[in-house]
Amino acid sequence: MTNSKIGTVEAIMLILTIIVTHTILSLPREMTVAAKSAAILNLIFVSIIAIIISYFIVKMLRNFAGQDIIDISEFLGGKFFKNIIGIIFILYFLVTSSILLRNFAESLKIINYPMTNVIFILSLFIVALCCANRLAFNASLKTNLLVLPFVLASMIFLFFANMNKFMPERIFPIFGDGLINTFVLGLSNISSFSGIVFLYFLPPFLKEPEKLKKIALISVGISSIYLILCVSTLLFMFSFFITTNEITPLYNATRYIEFGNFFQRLESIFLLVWILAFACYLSIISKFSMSIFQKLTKIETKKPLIDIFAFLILGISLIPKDYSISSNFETNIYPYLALGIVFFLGISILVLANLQKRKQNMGIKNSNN
Amino acid sequence: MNKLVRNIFIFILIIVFIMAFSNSYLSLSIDNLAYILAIGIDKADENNLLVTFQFSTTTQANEAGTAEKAPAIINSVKASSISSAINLLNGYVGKQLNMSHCKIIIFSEEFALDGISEEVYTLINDTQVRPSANIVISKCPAKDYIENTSPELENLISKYYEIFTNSSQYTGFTADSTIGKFFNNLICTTYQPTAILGGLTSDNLSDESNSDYNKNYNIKSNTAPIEGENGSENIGIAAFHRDKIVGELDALESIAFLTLNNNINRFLVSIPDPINSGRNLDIYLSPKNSPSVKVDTSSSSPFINVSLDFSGQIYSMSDNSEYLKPEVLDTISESCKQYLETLFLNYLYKTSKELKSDINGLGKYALKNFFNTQEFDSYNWHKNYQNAFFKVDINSIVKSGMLITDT
Amino acid sequence: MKNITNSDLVNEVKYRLNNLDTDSLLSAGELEQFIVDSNALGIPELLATERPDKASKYLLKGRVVVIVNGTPYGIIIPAVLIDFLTSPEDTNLKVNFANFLRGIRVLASFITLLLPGFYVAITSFHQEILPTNLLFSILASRENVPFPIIVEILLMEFSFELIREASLRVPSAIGSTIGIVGALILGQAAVSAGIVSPILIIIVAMTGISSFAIPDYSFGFHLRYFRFAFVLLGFMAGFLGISLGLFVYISLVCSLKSFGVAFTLPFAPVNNSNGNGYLLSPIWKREYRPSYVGAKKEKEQPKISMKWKYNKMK
Repeated sequence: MTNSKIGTVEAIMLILTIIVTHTILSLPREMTVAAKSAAILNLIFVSIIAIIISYFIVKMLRNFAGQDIIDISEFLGGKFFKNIIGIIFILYFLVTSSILLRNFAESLKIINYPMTNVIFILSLFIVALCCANRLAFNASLKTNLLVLPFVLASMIFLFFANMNKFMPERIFPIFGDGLINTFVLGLSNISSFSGIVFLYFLPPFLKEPEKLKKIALISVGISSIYLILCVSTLLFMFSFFITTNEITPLYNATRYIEFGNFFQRLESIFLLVWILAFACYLSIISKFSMSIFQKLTKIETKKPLIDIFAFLILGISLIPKDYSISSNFETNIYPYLALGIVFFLGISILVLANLQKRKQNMGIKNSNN
Repeated sequence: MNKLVRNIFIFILIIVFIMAFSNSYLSLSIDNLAYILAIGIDKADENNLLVTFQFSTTTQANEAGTAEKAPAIINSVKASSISSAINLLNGYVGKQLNMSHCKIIIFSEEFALDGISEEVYTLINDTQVRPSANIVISKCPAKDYIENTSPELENLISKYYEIFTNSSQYTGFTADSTIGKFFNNLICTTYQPTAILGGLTSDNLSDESNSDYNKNYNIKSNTAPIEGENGSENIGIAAFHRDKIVGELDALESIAFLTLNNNINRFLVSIPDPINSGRNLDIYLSPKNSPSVKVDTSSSSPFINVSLDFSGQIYSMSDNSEYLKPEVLDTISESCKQYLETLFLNYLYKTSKELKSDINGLGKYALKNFFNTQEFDSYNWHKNYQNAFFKVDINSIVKSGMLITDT
Repeated sequence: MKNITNSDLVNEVKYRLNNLDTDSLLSAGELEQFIVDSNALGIPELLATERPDKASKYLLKGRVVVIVNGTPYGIIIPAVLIDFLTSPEDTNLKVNFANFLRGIRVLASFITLLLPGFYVAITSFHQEILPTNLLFSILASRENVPFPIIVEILLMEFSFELIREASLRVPSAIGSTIGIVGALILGQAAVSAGIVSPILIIIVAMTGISSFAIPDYSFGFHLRYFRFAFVLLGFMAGFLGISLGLFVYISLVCSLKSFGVAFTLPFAPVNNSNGNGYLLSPIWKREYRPSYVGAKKEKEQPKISMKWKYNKMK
């Protein structure tokens, strides 16, 4: 694992993965319901802030060349702090991916497999995960690189195929529920850019570390365009005044695609691509969790961890008793979890570490003088 | 030894997964399903519905390659809801019923008077139902509509259901109303839903109805003077307020509805000939661009200004006509413009005063006058639409005849 | 060739060849299995060819060719995924035609791998994709068939493989006839007897024909081998099964390395292909050797190769 290096394009696709999988589930619907007709305005505002934040993160990471956030937290607070931060991030990755997996499996069950227990759908994902995790670290990243363009293309296709059903007037009233709702309360939508968490772990893996800034800016830019596409598809197609919250609203949008009488009901093809993307996401998250764990415990090889982490994900995804609990977690708890851990915790660690480094450097300068 | 254990484990895993998914496979496999092509819903008595299902057997292609007409099978069930009707019929028909190829859903007018939101929500909630299935309100019982539909030009009845709404593009007599669109309009605050108006062909073709037909197209389903083997017809649009039917639009008003929705390619109108009085002139009109609508919401009576552009070609010819002279074309254009203005104004005032329902969704043009959604909600568009004033500006240019310029 | 090929690559090949311990080595196929990085489920990592022009083309591009004494095959080292879908004829044709044929071959490999699986998955779980008329045709053709779809498809796929194998053993005079007659009669008789449906025969035939369109024999073989897994997955869980199967398959392909060269170059990791990607560029633009080979002399043509045209224009 320590020998494998990630190229620039692979890193960009890596950061996009989390956003893509989240949009398949319920993220666009949350944004349209929260901001009503000002959803696109809100999204543009939030993207600008996300770009600024990612630029800030990259700048702070530059002072610690080749170190990821675990090493920086060790520098800041010693081994104990490093272990705590490592465990927080591992738990964050495992819990969020498990709940997303549960939600996805439940919606698959409703759509296609009404008589099958959800545990079998989850197990199928876990079996595929176990098989893929036995391969090299780079294999998941390369698979992700190959699969993600198809997902992006599917979203673009969804947008253009539904264009004749759009009602562009739905963008009015332009300020939705009011200025405060759009710009102040809507700030919590920045949690949709939680893919930035990979920026904290990328520096030791990159083939060309000086390209980190380029990676950050391009990936956040592409994710904001992608999110704008998804949100506008939903905004222009469906009414948001009186909402009927549906599971996987983008899937609902795919059911309306028709080209004449021949090509109708193409939603299963979209599902094919989205399941691929989801499997890639699971594989990457579990591989990163395993590498953090390896870093914390300094074990030599990841072989024994593969099945353990896979079954951990299965176990956590089975904790919610039914779909309403896991769905509630995704819509209400996950955004604040992402905000707290990815943005507040990560940025505060970087800021404090930078301050400490500057103090150390000043101290060294004074002692030299 | 290790490899053997691993292979046995993989084999057992595969068997377990096959067994786990086999229930879904049995319920979804192509061999075990009967495909419903049409659903009809009537009122049976106080709390019950009469649900009619139409299936089709597969065509029997013989050696020569020509297919015989597939007979349609119709079953009816009395139940308290659509889902219990399907449940009951599942026990009667050999295969499991599947609605993923249902093309048309018919409600009877009597049923629609009480509100159809519950049934529409149930159908949209079902993963099998296509949002592109057409929704029809029939003036006769839905069961009669389904029983009398027998297309003359298609072998499979599903093909007829797929293509019969295409006529809305070139006649404008009905709309391609789908259940997905109906549902979206039902839950939207700036739209009201509409459905296709269906009925049976009338058997009476007296002279009076003939002369009416010559003058204007104010025909609807159940009254159109058409004779043929197909017993059902779809002319006109059913207008709703929320989920209850409040009125019907006839053929001409349907043309106005489709034009305002920018959903029509061309249509035929019959205007009084300004040159030869006592005759009618048939002109093919097509909209040049989408309608431009401006809504003024400064008072509680919104003022709606609609501008439309058409270009026309003269279709009917008689002797002694000179249709290439500019002054003749100008006169015809002027006459056409007056005719269309009257048509659209009558239609708009009908939706406002009589139907009290904004079926064209003109409220969406009012959205830009408001700063936020609370202001729009407090304006109460649907109530104020009843007091609306309209102004229609038509710009219609009749270009020429088609192949013949003058006789 | 000394100043073209990467000496590290040559040394690695020599090292592997010199450190083999076996009593006998009779064919290039056996050598390939001995020196390859991994035999993961049969995906080939080295190209085997009988054609001298193919071998010389790859030699000039900076690869190594190993020839076993007494066999007509040469092994080309290293090989990436796109090499298995290219034919040596491509460079002899005009670029437009060559690229068209390459597109057809990609389509053929997808059809070979996935078409039966998709058929089973769609008819078992996702019939709403089918247009209603097609659905009723399939239903009509399956009216009298006693078997479920999975049994039908496995029956016909195995029969096809049997015919294929049998036609290899029959003397060449009547070999091709047996193949055609056998397939025709088997298919036609099976349909008339009501054992299988005609649409299935078309699916199996298309799959078979597509597998013949793949230039490399082992690559085509591995696709034929894996399609059974996809049939099983499609039967088991529809598009979910096929999707997860595709995920594991793509991960497997991405994890392969052929003598240190990643198998899915130049697509993953993204590498500047310099005109050596899957689609051919015009001959005057093929200036560079593939970068993943690490050739000593990377440039094989100067910027202006058609000097006669350039001089004329001057």
